[in-house]
Amino acid sequence: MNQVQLRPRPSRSLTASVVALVVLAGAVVLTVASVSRLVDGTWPTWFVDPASSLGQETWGSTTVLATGAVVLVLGLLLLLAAVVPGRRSGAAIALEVENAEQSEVVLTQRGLARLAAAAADEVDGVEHVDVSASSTAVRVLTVTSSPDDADTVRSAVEQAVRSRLDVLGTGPVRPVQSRVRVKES
Amino acid sequence: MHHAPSRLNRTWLGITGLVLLVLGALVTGIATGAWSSVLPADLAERLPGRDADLISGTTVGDQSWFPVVVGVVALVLALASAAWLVAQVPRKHEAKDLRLQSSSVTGLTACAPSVLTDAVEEQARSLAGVSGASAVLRGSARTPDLTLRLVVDDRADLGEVLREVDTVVAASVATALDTRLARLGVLVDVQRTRRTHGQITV
Repeated sequence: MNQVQLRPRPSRSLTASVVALVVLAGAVVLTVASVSRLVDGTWPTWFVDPASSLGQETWGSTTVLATGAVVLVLGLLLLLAAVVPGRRSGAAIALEVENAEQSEVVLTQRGLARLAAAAADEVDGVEHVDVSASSTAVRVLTVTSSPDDADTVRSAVEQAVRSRLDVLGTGPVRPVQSRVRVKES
Repeated sequence: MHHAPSRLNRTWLGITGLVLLVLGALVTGIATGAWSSVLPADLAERLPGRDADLISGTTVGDQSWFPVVVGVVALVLALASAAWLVAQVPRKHEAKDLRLQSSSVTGLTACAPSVLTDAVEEQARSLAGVSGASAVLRGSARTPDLTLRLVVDDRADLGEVLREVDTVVAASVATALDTRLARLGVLVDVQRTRRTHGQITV
């Protein structure tokens, strides 16, 4: 069975598409030039002119050195993209189910941030909420206009977010970090 | 919900990266003259010098076999990269028609997975706090693998929604197929609830 993971590591689809497009473009140019050479007996001028001007460069020229360095760095980056696994996105929820042998429940990173923002926004004294969810924590920045209640608002927001992210009653699905900023009047 | 060709991408990115890395190191080494101090003298002598032209006066390009070889290699590369591009299209890998009969002697009973997934989506959307649902059924009638993507409101009781997905939605599929699900996958996204502003006078 071809299982689809709901928290996959990055598939590098964008990088792969760009590399495939560049290789495809280069291969098409070479194919057309070769066919033209076989049919007409000479390489087309749009292919020969750049190739001959490049051929006049010496191995020690700045152009060749810069091209070599760029190719080297590009190769290193592509190799790293292939080898580095990348982080899984979303938060896994350990739901025990009755009607399936296995289960995988995942809350998206965006969903996590929206849940936290909604919970924080419901707290009295909150003017504005800024939430960012990463693979390690949910960070909540609350803006309030009352300096005297800043600590109360911060702890109330933290409590509200923890409670909302405690999906199964076993603790929040991600650690919550709450900060408060007092709005200048 | 969809399958991305992660292994294929990483394999080809690795191969391309390795080729570029070797090529880049070779060119940079020749351009800086680094290879002459690193490689043994007899091997370094075979490499072109820094003052040599990039394309020496060889007549390889004039040989009749040269455009054929270049053309064939380029064509293979073009086909391979086109296939790599096509592989990037996300695929559901949905199940084929489910065969529900126990014996073909008494007749055949087949059910399209969409019949089940449409019902699952409708049932999931009817749960409190769920505003959208889409489902994919993979596997077979004996080993059904249900993946559900839910969009819930940001004030929904997510725990309750998930429990109902198991006890109502997954239970219905299990009843319909007369077997427990081999796997249940639920991907939850959250939608901002629209807030309306009104006034009351006390």
